[in-house]
Amino acid sequence: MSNKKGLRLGSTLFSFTNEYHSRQYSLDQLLEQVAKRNIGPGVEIVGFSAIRGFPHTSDEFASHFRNLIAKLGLEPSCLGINADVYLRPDQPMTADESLAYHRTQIESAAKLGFPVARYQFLAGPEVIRRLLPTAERLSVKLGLEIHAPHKVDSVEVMQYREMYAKENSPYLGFIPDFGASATAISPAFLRYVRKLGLPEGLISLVQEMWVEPDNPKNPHGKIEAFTARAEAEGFPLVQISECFMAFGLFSRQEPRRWLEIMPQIVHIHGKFHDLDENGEVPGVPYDQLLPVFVEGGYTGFMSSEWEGHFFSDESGLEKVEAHHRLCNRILGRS
Amino acid sequence: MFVTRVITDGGLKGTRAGFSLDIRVPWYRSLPVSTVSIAELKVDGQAIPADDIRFEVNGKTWGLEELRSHPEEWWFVLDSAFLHVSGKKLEPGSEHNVSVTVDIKPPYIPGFFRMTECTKQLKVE
Repeated sequence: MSNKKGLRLGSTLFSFTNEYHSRQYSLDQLLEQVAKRNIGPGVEIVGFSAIRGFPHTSDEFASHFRNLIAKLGLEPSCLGINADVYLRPDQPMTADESLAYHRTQIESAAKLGFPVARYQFLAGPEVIRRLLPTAERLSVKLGLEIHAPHKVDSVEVMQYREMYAKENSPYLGFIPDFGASATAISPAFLRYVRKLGLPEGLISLVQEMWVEPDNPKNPHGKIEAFTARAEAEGFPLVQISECFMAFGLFSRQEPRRWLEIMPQIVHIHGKFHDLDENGEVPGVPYDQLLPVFVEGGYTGFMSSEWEGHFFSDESGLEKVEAHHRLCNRILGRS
Repeated sequence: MFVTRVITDGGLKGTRAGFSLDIRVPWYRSLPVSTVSIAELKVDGQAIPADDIRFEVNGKTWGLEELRSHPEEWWFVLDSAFLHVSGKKLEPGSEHNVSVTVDIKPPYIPGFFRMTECTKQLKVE
């Protein structure tokens, strides 16, 4: 399957947070599982999760990682880097500090053999523009993750699109997260908040507001509007804040809208939280999404990204195996 | 789920000054201790005063109010941190209901916070 042309599959180790955080499997053991279960060949890691000492990466770690990946027949696809502007919660980094922090992470990506680094919108277009010479020199593409509540035309994303148009470099790209193309709130979230005992009235308010039209000029506006309404209805903040995830994990972008930025897409997060009894992802239309990327000529990797570990203790390895079966079926490779 | 792993099984130990508790970062990645706070620690329903708790990670120890001043100190995602409590002795072998609430502010999501409360019945090791 891995040698077929077109969209290529892989895993992000983020999917295996239950196995990793519980110390059931080490980083090396997870990589071995990815190879053994045939849920590569692409491998994505989150720097601050996998690597002690990140944003720096030691030569020793880098050489161990590259050797293991090669031995297992896997391919580094993307390194998740973070825009940790608020290391001090009350005093954000300056642009120069953020640039240096990002540069260190791009150097780590190059050392580890990653062709793409996923960055976050909080970096800001100006820092990314100044980071571009480093990315070009080290041959690491910079991919802005477009994650709910953002969409291709959200105001913050448009600022990057304008900068990209001016710079016109193949090292500037985007990474769609399929949570941004949801058609419904995942049942995994609803089961979780019911298990926590959140009132049905609050859950209905989430569902009601989730389907209301979004404002591209203010993608975070729904969380504010939801908080105001929920507080007015007398729900406590601790319960209200549990519901923010519904607006921050799932948004409703029509699958074909990704075609607008298709030539700039450098990686994909195949996000899912749940699989139903037919092996489908409830609330994310993979049968519509994947053909859009085939039609658009996308030939990079998609990491299967199970985020259900927020809501359950189930095995991410098994979830990703099932997700690969689903994607292979839709892509006609089963 | 992080909520089931904040308190490490077998992580309650009697000490000369009182007791210590082994805890884990309730997030998928390492965080600087400046973004972490211990909102509450309760033993058998009784809250421990914040002044009686010290936080240890990487072999270094701080008062809870000092954590915010250390953006350079990382709590690696796989490592335990320890809450050291003075003034409350727990008998070795006795069982207690322990509850801790860890509040995090991931440094790449301005204004976002997440409170994770974990409760476990533990025997003093």
